[in-house]
Formats: sequence, structure tokens, C-alpha cells
Amino acid sequence: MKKNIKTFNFSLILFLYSFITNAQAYKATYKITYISNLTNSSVRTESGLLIIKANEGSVYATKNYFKQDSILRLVNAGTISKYDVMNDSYPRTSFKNHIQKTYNNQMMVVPTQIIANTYVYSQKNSLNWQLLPDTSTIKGYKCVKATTTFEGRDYVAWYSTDIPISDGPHKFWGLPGLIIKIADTKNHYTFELESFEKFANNFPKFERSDPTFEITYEKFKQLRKDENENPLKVFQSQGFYPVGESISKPLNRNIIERF
Amino acid sequence: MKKSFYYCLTIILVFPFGQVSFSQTIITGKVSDKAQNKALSNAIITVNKLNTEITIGYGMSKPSGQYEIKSNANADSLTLNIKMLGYAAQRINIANKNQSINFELEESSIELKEVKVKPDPIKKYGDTLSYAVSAFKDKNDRVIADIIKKLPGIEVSPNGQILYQGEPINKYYIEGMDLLEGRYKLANENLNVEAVTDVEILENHQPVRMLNGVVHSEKAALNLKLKKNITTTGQVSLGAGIDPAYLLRDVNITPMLFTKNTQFLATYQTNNVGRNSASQLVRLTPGVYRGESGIENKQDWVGIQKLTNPAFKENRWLNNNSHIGSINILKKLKNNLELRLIGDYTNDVQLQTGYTKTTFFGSEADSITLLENKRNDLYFNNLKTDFTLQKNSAGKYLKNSLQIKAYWDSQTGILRNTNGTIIQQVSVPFYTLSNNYKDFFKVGKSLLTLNSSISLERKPQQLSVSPVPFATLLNADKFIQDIQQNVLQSSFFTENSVQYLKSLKGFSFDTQLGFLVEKQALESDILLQNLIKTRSVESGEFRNNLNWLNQKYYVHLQSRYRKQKLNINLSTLLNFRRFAIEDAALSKSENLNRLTFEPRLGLNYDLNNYLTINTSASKSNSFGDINQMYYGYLLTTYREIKRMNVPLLQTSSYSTSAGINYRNPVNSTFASFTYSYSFRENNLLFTNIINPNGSVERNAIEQDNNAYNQSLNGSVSKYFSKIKTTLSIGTNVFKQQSQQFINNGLTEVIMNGISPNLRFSSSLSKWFGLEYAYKLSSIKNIISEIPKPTIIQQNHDLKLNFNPAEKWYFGIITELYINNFNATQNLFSDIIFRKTVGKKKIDLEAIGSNIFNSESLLSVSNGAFNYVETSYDLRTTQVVFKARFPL
Repeated sequence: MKKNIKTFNFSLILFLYSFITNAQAYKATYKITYISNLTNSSVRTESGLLIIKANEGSVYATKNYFKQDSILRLVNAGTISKYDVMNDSYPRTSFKNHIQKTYNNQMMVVPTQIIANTYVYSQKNSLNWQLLPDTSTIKGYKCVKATTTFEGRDYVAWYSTDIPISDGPHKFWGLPGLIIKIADTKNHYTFELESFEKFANNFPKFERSDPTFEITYEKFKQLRKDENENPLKVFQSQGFYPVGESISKPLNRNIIERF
Repeated sequence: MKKSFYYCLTIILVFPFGQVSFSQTIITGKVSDKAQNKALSNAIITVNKLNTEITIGYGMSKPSGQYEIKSNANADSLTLNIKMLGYAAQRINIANKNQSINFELEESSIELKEVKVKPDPIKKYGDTLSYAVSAFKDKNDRVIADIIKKLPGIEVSPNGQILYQGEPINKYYIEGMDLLEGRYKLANENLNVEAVTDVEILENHQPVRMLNGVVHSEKAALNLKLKKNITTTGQVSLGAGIDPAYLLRDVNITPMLFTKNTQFLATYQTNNVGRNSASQLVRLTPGVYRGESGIENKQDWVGIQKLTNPAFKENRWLNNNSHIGSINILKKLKNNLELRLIGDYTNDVQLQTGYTKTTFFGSEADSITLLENKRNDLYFNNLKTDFTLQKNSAGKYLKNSLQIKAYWDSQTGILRNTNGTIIQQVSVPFYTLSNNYKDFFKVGKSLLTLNSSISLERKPQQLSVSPVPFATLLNADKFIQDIQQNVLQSSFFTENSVQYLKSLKGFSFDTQLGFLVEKQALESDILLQNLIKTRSVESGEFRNNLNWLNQKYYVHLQSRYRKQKLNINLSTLLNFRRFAIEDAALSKSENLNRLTFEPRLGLNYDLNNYLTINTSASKSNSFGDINQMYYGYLLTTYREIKRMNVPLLQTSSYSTSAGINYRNPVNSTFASFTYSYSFRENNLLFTNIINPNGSVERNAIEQDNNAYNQSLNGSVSKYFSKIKTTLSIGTNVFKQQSQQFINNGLTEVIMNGISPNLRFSSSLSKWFGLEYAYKLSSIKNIISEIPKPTIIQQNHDLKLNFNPAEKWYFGIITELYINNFNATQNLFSDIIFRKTVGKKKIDLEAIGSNIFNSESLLSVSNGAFNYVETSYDLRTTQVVFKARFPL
């Protein structure tokens, strides 16, 4: 197992390295509006960043996830202490993963944090898009409608062939143009493009200090389901035994995946 | 179950229909690079209905370059599109049948259409308001102060102090670090606006991180977020010019460096164009320790008869020749320690010319009028250093600062009145050495704090006047040519306390035990001199040999309660004070022991996200200082001789206030209103005996008296993002009521004032913007029920900015000053031409100031027992050429 982790990290570095070659890069920012909890229907917003390396692949995570990562890097380098981090200004996100897409093999590599551990799984692009004739102009781009079903929700997407990049926010991709807007039919999760610009900085590298466990997509589905329904069980399965009386309450959050 | 039902339904409904109407077409092929003849992957191929944007099938080329698209359409022809980043798109029409089509793409740099979000001008996260600089910036903004003064909810007062919702900010950070210790004009007026992305207001900012969430703060701090992690910025500007009498220069060299661990700012500035650069070295945040109190105020014992500076833009009247230098270095060491070094040097010569007409109100004679023509030279020469070691993390707070300040100031005044010419010479040096130490310890879940400050001060000061005033009083014969007042004050001060802080759920209790010792000595004598000999005034009442000891022992209990939207503060302070004051030579002394109880109650409540109300009530006691109590006469100016042969001044103050704050960052609206009322009881009344020649003997008598003070402040500001305009209006209304003793009569003095103001700044279009400010101040005194004339002064301030072409700027600054006591209106105009050249944005400027050559300004001030008209000679027309290089 230990060896496994190391090899994986190595391949991750290679993956990132391949990006730091010189090619065009773009940054798409999406505004995410979502209902995190159906009982009090509290609406939250976050920003999602999709960094695209032309014709090669992309990395997607929320802005706060990127920020957390930069903070973690400073903590690991000893520039700031963990104390400084644990306050109200620490960036929080409901999307505790980042998604690395590779266009050639149509695979996603998704490091995900579940309770106390970080796991990583690979997922093939299996989206089956239905193209529709409806058109609309969003953010100045001519868009065409398409629909699909994914991880338990039905989605309506608007993509634009003006940007010939077959990508989008979260795990959405595979249309003949960039996804400008996508929402599930119940409007629980909406992603809408806010900006699209050239990206001149170094390609993002993620730094997670804890070991990463490689799992299958099926295992991920199980863990994610358990996390929402019985977090204590997952916590215990990760080798933590909370002291004192602990009653496990289901979180019952309205997570994006509905397995 | 439900899903599979829909699935079946779809198949039943769609499938047969599709089967009947359409047949499937499969198009395959290969995509390659024309020039290099290599396979291309990730090209996007779409099949559209003929000549439409309706896509019916699509596919991407694989690493081998192969693609395959299936489509269903009952049409004869189809349109095939191929697009790929970095290659020219192709579009062909084909027959609707199975076929193979290969594409050879040509490289082409196609610019994709970009959309950029305009950042919300104001964002709010928790207690932080973030103003996006780009939303407020226009082409003519150079330094960050240009932006800050435009932000809604923020005001910048004429001395450069930044107010948020009417209250001064308590810290000015750059990237979270306090480099300047409140001398923030240094950064504000020199930091290049291009280096900053956001101006943040941290509401309820507690500067001590350990106290964050434990001790509530009502003050706000300001933080600048920089664009880059490592920023070198600042400016260099070189200017030269002429006015009718002088060659002018205006030089400013200010480099800055900001990195994660080091911050550095240095400046050298010299000018004689009327820019008071020394104001950049003045601390503008409220201080904690003695000598650190807010805006610096060095109290001198003696002075020349000054000409009151007009309450008007400095560069109109300041006749200066100044040099300032400052170095500020902050370095983060290991373990969150910060080391900071500050050194400031000022050398300035200021010339004041003009005349004053002083009318003294008296209960007997109303008409003592004194006309004085003045020429004053003021020399400022001072060096200040501050060496601070600080640790401010969530787990520990420690701060020690050692400060050394030395002033070698002097003044010369030549004054003509109806009796002739009077020469005044003053030397007012001041030396101080102080150390302040503060240390927080965690004791279990509680906090223990040690505070210790210690300081030494020395003021050897001197005034000489020729010819001799108060000759009869001083018993000086006609052969005496001049008089010299010598004063030496030396002080030792220490304050030490232990503080224990414990929090319990919503409550926190803060107990402080401490003591203060202030030991001062005042020596003074008056010398009478002629060419041959010098003698001191024999009579003992013209000498001081005062020993002053003030001790204070206190217990201070502060309890706070915080629950979500409510914040209650109760402070109870019990002071025991001992004064031992003695002048053995005059056999005068006073010993006073007093126990005082000084409570304060404050309450803050957030009505909702936008509205906050606050109210407070307090009682406090204060006692006179050494300059309010001495037994021998002191000649403080050529026509004022003072002694305070009275008991110690004791004042009890009661005050209440209530306010409401509204801030809505969503539609950028800010408002605040505050009402305050205070009541003061004094045991002494200061008296003035006005001699027919206008000289004043000040004294004090024991007489209980009261003073009342009421004021209402309100302001509203709003930013209209569509037209990039900030509008703000505000007003201040006050009424002061007190008793004065004038020429042996007790007089009731009432002062009523109102001062509304309006401010408007707008970037209407790309080539035109304007800023306008209006201020009216109306003051009316009523003295023993006799109303005195109302003084109304109005300022209009209009700045028009034109950008006729890219990189060209033309500005007109016009000010109109109107008052109701003389018919003249003062109009001032400046014009500025600026051309920006090169990539580095070097500004070349020509500035013509006071082009209508207004020569003097008449203003009026209303004292409790006098009415002073001042005519101040202004700077004449001048032209300066300047080159400014942003770093």
C-alpha cells in the first residue's frame, strides 16, 4: 500500500510536468450557486476555476480549494503556523476535490477528501450528451443547448462552439465547445461562466501533505454515500475513534452526487 | 424505478419514430497538420444541418487523428465544421451519406473572445469589506490616496487622517503588516496605485490577534492587498520652477519594497513650493501610550505671537523650505517575531507674514482692539527613532518599543503694532526617551498581560522679547532693553500594570491592577538685560521652582458580554490619586488625595446585516497638568503673562452618546449618525485681565462652574457604479455652553455652530471627470446674552479633469472662499498639464498655481473672549515643472 502511494505521487508529478510545457493556456471562472441543505434551502455561492492547457487537458477546483492549497503550501514550508490558519478567514469550500482531465484518453483523475483522508480515483468520461436545437446568448457567447444525466441528476448545459475546447466545470465535458452554463433540472447546482481569459501563470500544482489512497470509482461512490449518511462510520473506518459519547447523525446534505 | 419507466417511454416514443424517418449516416476520416503532416488529436468536428448552427452530431479526433461521427438527418446535404485551438477552422458542405473525409489543418493564431468579469466594486466577507481598486480607478489616479478618498464610507480629513463611518481607523496595514505605526500618509501618498488590487476595511478590528474574538473592538483598520508577492514600488519625482522671488524645487524620492518577510520604505523629500511633507511623518492612529497619543502635539511653554494658519489648503499659504528623510524597515524573523526600525528626520523653515486684528470682549469695555503686523520665522529640526520588536500571533503577543525623539525647534518674530516694533526670539527644544513593553501570557484558558512604560523628558526653553512688555509689573526701568524668560521642565514617567483576562461563554472579564508615577520639576526665571548687564527679576513671584509628583493606583474591571448581535461593555475604574506639589521658594504647596470612580457602559447591537446601533454613557475625572498649575509668573508670549496660583484643577465629566450606522455593500450605500451630550464640572475658572494695550494677564480663581456640550454628526455616502460616481453629504451641529471670567465678571458664553458639507466625485466619461466639495461653517457666539455677529465661511472646491487624448491630462483646480465679514471673495485657480510617456508611465507635468495671484486671505476665529481677524499673506503665482517616475 505504502509503495502504491509513492508511485501515485510520482505519476501525479509527471502529469503536472507535462503541462508545464509551452502551449496556450486559458482560465475559465464559473460562478457556482447551490443549495447545500434542502431542509433550510440555504443558497451558497462559490467560484470554480478551470485551467485549460490547449489540446492537452485541464485542472478544475473551486477558488477556495486553490486558496487552501496555497495556505497548506505555506504551512508546509513553515512560513506560517497551523495556528494562524485556524480562524474565521480560512477559505472554506463544499467541493473538496480537484479534477484533472486528460483529453487524449478521456480520463479524469480526482483527488478527493472524505472526512479525514484524501483518496484518488480515476473516472472515464462517460457522459452521453443529447444535442438540442435551442440557442441562446450567454455572456456574449452564442450557445447551444444539450442535456445529459450524470451521477443521479439530469443536467441542462449551454455550450459554445466559439470556444473549441471540449471541457467545462466540475466533471462536465465532452461537448463540441466549452460549457458556458450548466444546471441540474431542479436548479440545485448551477455553474455559470463568469470570465474566460488567457492564463499566463504557471500551471497549478497541488500540494496535499497527507498520504493519498488510490481507490476505484465504485469505492468512491460507496465512501461518498457513507460520508453523507453516516460520517462517524467513515471516520472510524479511517482509524479514528472519537472519545466520549458520540452519536452519528446523518449529514443529509444535498451533495452534487446522488448515488 | 421511475427512471427506468421514463427510459422505456423514451424508447417507445422516439425509437420507432427515428427508425421510420431517419437513417444513420457515419462520417469518418483523419485530421492532420498540413505543414508537419502529423496526426492531430482533440480537433472538434461537428455535423450541422445544411448551412445552420444546428448540430446533429459531433466527434473529436483521437491521438491517431481518426474520428467518427454518427448523425441522423433526413436531408440531402450536411455542413461539416472542424475547429481546433491554434488552427484555422474549416467548413464544408457534404452529401448526407456514409463517407470518409480527411482534414489538413493549417496553424493559425486565432484569438478567442475573452470575457472578463468586472469585479464587484465592494465585497463583504464577514467583518471585511473589500473595495476593488480597479472599479474606482481612473486615468489620473497615481497614488493609493487618490483611490481611498473616493471610496464610499471612507473619508479623508484635510490632515490625511482616514475615517471609516466617521471614526478614525486604528491600523493601516500593507499586506497585513504594520510597517509605519500610524504614519500612514507615507504610504498613502507615495504607494503607486498600480501595485494595489484591493483596499480592505477590517471592521471591529482587534490589533492583538490573541484577543481576537475575546476583546471586542469597535474600530476599523485598513489593509492594502498588493498585486504581487514581491512588489518594488514607490515614486521618484523631480520638480523645479519659479515664482517672482525664488527658484523653486520639489523633489520626492520614495522607494518601497514589499515581500512576504520584509517590508521597506524610505523617503527623502525637499521642497519650497508649499508642500508640507513633514505631515507624512505624523502619526494618525490613536496611540496607547503616553507621547503616542494620536496627532502629535508638542506643548511648548513659550512662543512667539503666531499668525494662525488659515483653515485652508496648505499649499496656498505655506512658505516653507523643508527637507524630510525617513527609513522604515520591518523584517519577519523566526517564530513570528517582527523587528521594525523607524528613523525620521525633519528640517523645515517656515515664514509667516500678515496681520491680525484682535478685539477683546469684556463685560466693561467691549472695544479693546489690537492691530499687529507680523513676520515670523519658524525653524523645525527634529529626529525621531523607534525600534520595535513584536510578536503578534494567535498564540502569543509581545511588543517592545524603544523611542528616542529630539527636537531643536526655534522661532523668531518681528511684530509691529501702534507702539513700535517688537522682536521675539524663542528656543523650544524637547528631548524624550521612552520604552514601552507589553507581553501576553496564556495561563490555562485565561490571559495575563504585563504592561510597562517608562519615559524621560527634558524641555529647556527660552523666550526673549525686546522692548520689555509688562514693564511696570516687572519693575523694569527704561534702560532695560530686553527680557528673557527661561524655563526648564524635566519629567520622569512610569506606568505599570498587570491585566488578567478570563472568558466564559459569552462573557469576558478583564481585571487590571496598576500604578503610575509622574515626577516633574519646573524651574523658571525672568532676566532683564541691557548692553551692560543682566539681572534677574528679584521678586520671587516671577520664579518657579516647582516639584510635582503625581501618583495613581488603580483597579480597572472590564466586563464584556457578546452574544451574536449584541455586545455589551461595562468598565469600572477605581483610581486613587495622590498629588504632592510644592514650590518651597514661594512657600506654596498642595497635597491632594482623591479616590475616584469612573464607570463606562457601552452597547452595540446589529439590528440586521446592514444596521448597527450603539450607545454609551460614561463618567470620568481628570486633574490638572503641570502647565495648569504653577505659582510664579511665566511670560508665555510677548503680551501674555500667566500664573496659575490656584488649587489643582479638578474636572468631572459625564457623557452619553447614541449612534446608528448603516452600511450596504451590495448597493454601496453608507450612512452614520451620532448624537453626543456631555457635561463638565470644574473647580476653577480661568480669568483674563486685559490691559488697555491688549496685553493679557491670565490667572485662575476657585469657582465651581459647569460646561455643556452637545453635538450631532451625520453623513451619508453612496457609490453609483454605473456612472462611477461617489456622492456624500454630511453635517455637524453643535452647541457649547460654558462660563468665563472676563475682567472680574462672570460671563455665560454660548457657542452655536453648524457645518454642512457635500462631496461629489465622478468619472463621467473616458475623457472627463470632476470632483467637487462644498463646506459651510457657521458659528455664532452669545456672550452674557448678547449675540455676537455670526461668522459664516464657505469653501467651494472644484477639480475638473480632462483626458483629451490617451496619455494627455489637463486639470483645473478652482477654489472659492467666501466669508460674511468682508465683501471680498477669494478665488484660486491652478492648472496642470500632464503628458505620460513611455511604458513605465513617466509623467511630465507643468503646474501653474494661484494664477489669479490672490495675495492674502482674511479669516476670522472666535475665541471665548476675543474675536480675531487674520490676514495671511499667501503664496504668489508660481510655475513648477515636474517629472514623476513610478517605481
